[in-house]
Amino acid sequence: METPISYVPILIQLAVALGFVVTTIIATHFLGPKRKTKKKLDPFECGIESSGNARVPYSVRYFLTAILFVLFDVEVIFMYPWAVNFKALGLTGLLEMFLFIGLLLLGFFYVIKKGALKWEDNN
Amino acid sequence: MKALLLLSGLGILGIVSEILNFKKYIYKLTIVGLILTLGITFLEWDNPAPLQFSNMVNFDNLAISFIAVLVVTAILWFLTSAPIFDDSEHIADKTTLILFALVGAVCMVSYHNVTMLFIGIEILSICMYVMAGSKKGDLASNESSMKYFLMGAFATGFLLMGIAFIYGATATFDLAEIKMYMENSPEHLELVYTGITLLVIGLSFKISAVPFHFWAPDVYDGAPIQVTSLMSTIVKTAAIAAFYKLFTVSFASQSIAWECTLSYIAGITIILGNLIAVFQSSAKRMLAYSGISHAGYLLLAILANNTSGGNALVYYTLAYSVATIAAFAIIALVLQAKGDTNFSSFEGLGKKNPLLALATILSMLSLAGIPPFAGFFGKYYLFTSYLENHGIGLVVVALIGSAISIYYYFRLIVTMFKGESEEVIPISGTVKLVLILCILITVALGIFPELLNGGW
Repeated sequence: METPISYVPILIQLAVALGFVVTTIIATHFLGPKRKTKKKLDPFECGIESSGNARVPYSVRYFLTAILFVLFDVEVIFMYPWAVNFKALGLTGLLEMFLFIGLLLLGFFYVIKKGALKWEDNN
Repeated sequence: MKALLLLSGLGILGIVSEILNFKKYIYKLTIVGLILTLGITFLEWDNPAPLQFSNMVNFDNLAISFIAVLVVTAILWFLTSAPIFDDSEHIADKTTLILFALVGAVCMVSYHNVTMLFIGIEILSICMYVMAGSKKGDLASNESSMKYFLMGAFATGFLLMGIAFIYGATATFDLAEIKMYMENSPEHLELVYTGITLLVIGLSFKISAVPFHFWAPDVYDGAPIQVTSLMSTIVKTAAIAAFYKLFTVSFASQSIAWECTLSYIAGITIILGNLIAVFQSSAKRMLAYSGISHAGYLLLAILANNTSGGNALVYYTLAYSVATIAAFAIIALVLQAKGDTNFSSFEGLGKKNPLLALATILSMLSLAGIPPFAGFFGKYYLFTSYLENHGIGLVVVALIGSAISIYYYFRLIVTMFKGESEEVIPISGTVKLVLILCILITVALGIFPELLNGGW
């Protein structure tokens, strides 16, 4: 029988998870030594001395590439469950996957044709 | 089912046309493909096995009628919307997006599984978000797209939560199984009621019913006019069909949970939509609000909770879509000639442009529900289906709303004959064809209403 009481463990887990985060943040704040020099307060940039403002506009192509990556990445993930069930799905599964990959490739060619992956030409 | 496959194929053809460089033919190919789809849709009439794709979709006669309405609207829309396909660079993208939006709409009218409903809504919405912003340099278009996206995503959240609650109670996504569960004294009534309420909210957002309508006027106003025309016809038809299907198939026996809420939503939508439309100075915005009020009338079919409600819905959406497509085509022509869509731009146009005047008069009369045009019988069937098992209250509200609507629909007609203007607005051949087709459909449906109300 499910009663509100049976959800209490979830609340406890929530409290533990939140409590751990809060406790560690507060504890490190008090425990850690503090030696503040100019070098230490600088933003870390791969060991090189940082220069300039981080908030500069940069090419929209970064976003485009990132979004396209996510898109194809997520679509490729569908191949894992298919690969696991390859034998059970049989020939139908194979053909369906061909169709799927075909459409995926079509999208890829479309992206190339639209010039979304072109870096040199600015137009 | 063939319609769904054919439309998807057409959409893919759009992408291929971009890759293989035949995109200048894609506009014509699409129209031919859509006409083919319309023919093939009717071949599946009285399909002996409507459930397909592992019971995901159900192509019964009601779904096929809605698909036919959608495809007819799409054909008329494509013929009137040549201007947005003018720039050759994005023609394939736009065509593909619209076709995939149509695929989403077909999923929404033919689903038999709630996941399919969700997928359909997403396919449709994502394409429309992009299309709303398709006039890239225009700030209003950008605003429209952004607003539509944020509000649409928000509404989808409600919808998904509702679906999750219903699944929590019934442990199934299948419409028939949900219906069975609802009829056999459900155990988890609190989950069911919460789910139904959330679904009412989510779907009311999609059909832009008051009080979930705030996004609609800005989105409709900012989007390019052809896209607005698409949003207020195809999107509305698909959303209301999905709404109808979910509630009268699955939740009919639990009508106590949604009937009262939905009655109030319908009443407020009709009155408020019509009242605000009266005060608009732009014809485009006026039609946006009139679209909101029509969503209220359409809700009566869901409240009717019987099969004649579905028939009335098919009839009404066809009449409404045809009249709206014609009205937007006219506004687009005036916008092109005069640069804005204010009522003052319409002054005197009726005298020198007989076809424009006739099409405006007929579509406005049809939208206002004046006999003997299609819109009148649409309202008549809606009201009679509602009265089959309800009192007269909401119908009186709807009639008052119609009476208000006559004011602003007639205002456009009167403006067209007021004042002097020697201007002759050039109308391209295809738009002429569409206007004549719309006039014919509006009149034919009005004179022979039995044509479409054969009972299915």
